[in-house]
Amino acid sequence: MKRPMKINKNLIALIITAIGALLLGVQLQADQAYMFFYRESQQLLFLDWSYISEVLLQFGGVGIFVSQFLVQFFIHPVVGAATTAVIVGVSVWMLWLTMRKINDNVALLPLLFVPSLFVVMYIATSYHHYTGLVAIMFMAIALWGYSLCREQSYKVRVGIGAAITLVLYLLVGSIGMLFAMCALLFDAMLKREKWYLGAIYAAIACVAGSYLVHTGDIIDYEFAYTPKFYNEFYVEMTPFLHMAWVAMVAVMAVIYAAGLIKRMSLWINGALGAILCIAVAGWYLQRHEKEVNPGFYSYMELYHHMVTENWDGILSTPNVSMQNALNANFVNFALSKKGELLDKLFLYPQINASSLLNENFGTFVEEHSVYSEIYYHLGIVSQTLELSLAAMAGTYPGTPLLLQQFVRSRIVLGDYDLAGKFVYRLSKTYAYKDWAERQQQFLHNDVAVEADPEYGLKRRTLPELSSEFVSMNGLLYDLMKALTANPDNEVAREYTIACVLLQKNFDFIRAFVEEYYSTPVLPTLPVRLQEAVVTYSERDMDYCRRYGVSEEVISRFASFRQKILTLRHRQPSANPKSQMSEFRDTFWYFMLN
Amino acid sequence: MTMRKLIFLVCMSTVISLASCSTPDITISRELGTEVEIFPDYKDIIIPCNIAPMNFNVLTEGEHHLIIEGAASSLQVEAEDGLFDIPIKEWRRLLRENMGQKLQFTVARKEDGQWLAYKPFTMEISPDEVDSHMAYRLLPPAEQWLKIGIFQRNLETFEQKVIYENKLSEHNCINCHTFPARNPDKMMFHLRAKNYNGTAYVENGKVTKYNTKTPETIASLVYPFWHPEERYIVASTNIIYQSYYYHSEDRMEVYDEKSDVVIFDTEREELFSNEILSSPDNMETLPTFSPDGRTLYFCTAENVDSIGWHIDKLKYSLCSVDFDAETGTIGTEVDTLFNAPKDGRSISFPRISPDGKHMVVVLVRYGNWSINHKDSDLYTLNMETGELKPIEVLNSEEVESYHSWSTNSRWMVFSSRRDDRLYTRPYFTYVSEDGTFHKPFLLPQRNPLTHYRDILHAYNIPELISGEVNVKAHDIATAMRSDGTTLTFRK
Repeated sequence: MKRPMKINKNLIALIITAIGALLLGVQLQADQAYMFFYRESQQLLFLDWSYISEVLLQFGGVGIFVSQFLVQFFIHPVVGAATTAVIVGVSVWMLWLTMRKINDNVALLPLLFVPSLFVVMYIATSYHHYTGLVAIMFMAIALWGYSLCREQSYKVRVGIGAAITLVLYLLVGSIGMLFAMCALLFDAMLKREKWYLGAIYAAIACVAGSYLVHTGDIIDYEFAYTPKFYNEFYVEMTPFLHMAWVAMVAVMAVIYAAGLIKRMSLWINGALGAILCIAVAGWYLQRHEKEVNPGFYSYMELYHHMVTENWDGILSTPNVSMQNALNANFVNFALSKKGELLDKLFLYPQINASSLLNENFGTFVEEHSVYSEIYYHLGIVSQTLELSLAAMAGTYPGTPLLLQQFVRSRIVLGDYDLAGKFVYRLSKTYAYKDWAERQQQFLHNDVAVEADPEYGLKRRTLPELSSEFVSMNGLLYDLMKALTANPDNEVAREYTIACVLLQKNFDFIRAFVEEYYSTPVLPTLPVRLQEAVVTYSERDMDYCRRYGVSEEVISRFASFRQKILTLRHRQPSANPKSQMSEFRDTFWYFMLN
Repeated sequence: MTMRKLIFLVCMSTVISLASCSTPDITISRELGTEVEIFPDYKDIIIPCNIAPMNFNVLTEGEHHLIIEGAASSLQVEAEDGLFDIPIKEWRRLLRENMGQKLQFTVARKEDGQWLAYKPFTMEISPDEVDSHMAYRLLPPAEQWLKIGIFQRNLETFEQKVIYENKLSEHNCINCHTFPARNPDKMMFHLRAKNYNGTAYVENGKVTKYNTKTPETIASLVYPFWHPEERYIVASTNIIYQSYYYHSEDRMEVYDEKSDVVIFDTEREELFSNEILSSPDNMETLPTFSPDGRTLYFCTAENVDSIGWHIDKLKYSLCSVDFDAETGTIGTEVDTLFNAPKDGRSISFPRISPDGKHMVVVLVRYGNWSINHKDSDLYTLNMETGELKPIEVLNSEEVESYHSWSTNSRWMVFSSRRDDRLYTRPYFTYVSEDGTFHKPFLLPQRNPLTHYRDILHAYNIPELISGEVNVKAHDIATAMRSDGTTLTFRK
């Protein structure tokens, strides 16, 4: 006689959960690695009691603190994806341990991934807080804890449920409301004694929320009772952003309903499990791709390379379009950092001076953060200060980069007490304390500042004290201001020349060359500028030689000219650009339409 | 163990731990002859008899002890991590028993088992009370407004309470607040926000929203000042810009491109002005009423073409006109108390003591955003002769600016950036009957060193008020979300 096969359902569930979490981790690492870096780069967790207590004492403070604590480690590769996968895994496992009491069909386990996967999709955006994912985990743990008090009398059970609801609500936020609903549903599905008393939990969350709204601790009822609490305040809540919570309730209902169906054979069950695995994974992958904004993801990647000073990384970032001014600014910044701005400027399809630095930027934190870094690189420290403070206005208490910019600018300006305040703050962080400690040597030490290659150059680039405002007369004026203050500022000189060339205005270029050639601002003509000079004065070689145009450039220009004439002769209507690749690095190539 | 034994043990251990918490008195072995380094600088100051404990930190390493001695009583406090946290009950007893006299503070350092005393310093307890509360904005410096709010501090304790925080209204900017003659039952401030834009008018906890921009005025009410009889609020309406300097000790500037002064009649819910207060050729701003309400002071500057390029030409004079609160009429004769083109400097924030005897103003080289001007200093202005005198004892190398008088005219709180150049902090000064100002002291905190080191907000617009403001932040947000009442302009 055949003995029925004994199955350890918990072991199977554990294996499925672990494999699911592992696959999720791999997918996140492949598709979202820079999102995790970016999350870390947008938060500051000061590891001192005064700050931590401020975080903990707000509504949902424990959830916020735990998520910030985890996110600070996302600076290390893989940690973000791995942590997220573990959180999802723990959530699913806790839900399984709870839901098996209603229906222990392990084939349904893939459904338990759905609520967490919704939140994983939310965090692909910048406006959903990581706390939303942590909250789901806390809720799953709380529900499991609640499910353990199965044998107690209903009074004890309701007492425990009420206590869990209140604690979860106050410490982790509005997720307490979801717990209240799930606990009621759980009791109803198990037909526990006086299950309807579980409605008290939601009432408790309602009363607590209402009280906190009235005291001004919570913004409004939407924040108090819905997933809005885990989003930035400006987010308009779409149905999709509610789906994680809806899915939680729906999955419970489906699992319960499935338990009412007659037991299926092992094979059918296995097939059902496989189908659900494929369906959940397929849905997630397809929907996840839809939720990710490729443009913003590119920005996150570029930003990460910028803060880690991986300039080659910026130049090799996929999907970077030079048509996008911000992307172009990143690329040119990276070229400048590598000392190759003028050499390789025209190897990239520049549009105009806005490719170098788009002055018409908006009011977004992202743009301000990048432009303040570029202005600092140029030595225009006052503009760095303005932009970093403007960006900080949207990111209280700031981001690591913004605080670093603030410290560096203040050190250059000699505002040591202020720099010291933020050095102290950064010294209380996990990832930036070493940087902060290195800055200590510069505080109240003008000699060290002036001897430092970076700070010294920037300080020498400060113009004379005056009441003139920065950025009132355009980028070129600002660059010239920096360059005339310190003609040794090679970065400012390269940007100035690039800015002049990108104007595509020969009269302007001529005026610039004639005014500044052989002065400290323009002691020699770089090759790219020589190319411009030979273009506007091709009939006057004496002029060219007087302004330092080399024979090599003159000869190369002759070759360029010859080839253009030949191509135009062959095909007058065709654009010769595609057949002039050997001249791609030149100003002449840039000028071809 | 019986319950009785357990209770006995708990009581005994409580008594033992309480006894071990009290500070054993020490005896000084010898004098060090040097001054102790402390933060804040509370040496040789005058304090009000109702102020919170003047806790301070010793800035040198080691084990320290504090002996506070008055003519009538004394107290000893042990430092914990350099902090002297003076028990509030004991402190109040000291203030009560030694009122009108000096307390001597002796800090001692332990070396080789002996207590060595630094040179003592004193705090004189003035019988003149300071108002019990102070309202202020806490905001990150340089006009950031993601997290700002109006708070109130009980000056007799360390308790700080929220009046309103911008997290309740889209993290918007909250403008300056005003009270009528330090009365906390009425308050007004403006919110700049997409869905909450408007002016909040609070009266006995009830909040009314007013839309104060009218077709006849250039903007909403910005810098307000309440008439002592409470019916009228005078305010400026400003078009404001912010720019950063290439390189200046002031770093950044906030300036008006246009501004006028208007009066808000709260009974008739209308605004009015006249050609003096809203001249097309001048910019009028920062208005103030005299304590008797009969005179309206305001700052005024000639319009400057392309002001962003000529900011140093922007100089404000101080003028006044009569005001009749009975009829709500503004006088037509202008009196100039300070003539900027003649003097070469620029004036702002005229504030007269409630007894009407002293006017304190702020002087800078140009502009009126004195909080960002390193050269900004406090001056007394003789209202009869126009004579200006710098208040040397209050001024530092850094910014001194916005100030507010106490009800009894014996105290003044002002803003100063002397500690780190950017974070404005409130300093208090005693003002003698004859108008002499005394060495200022920083707002006390339970742990001043960590508080002022860690806080990422500046104290802005400190206003002394005679009691606690009782209004719910939620009620303000709810009112501000409504459509509100739009003011009309009386022509």
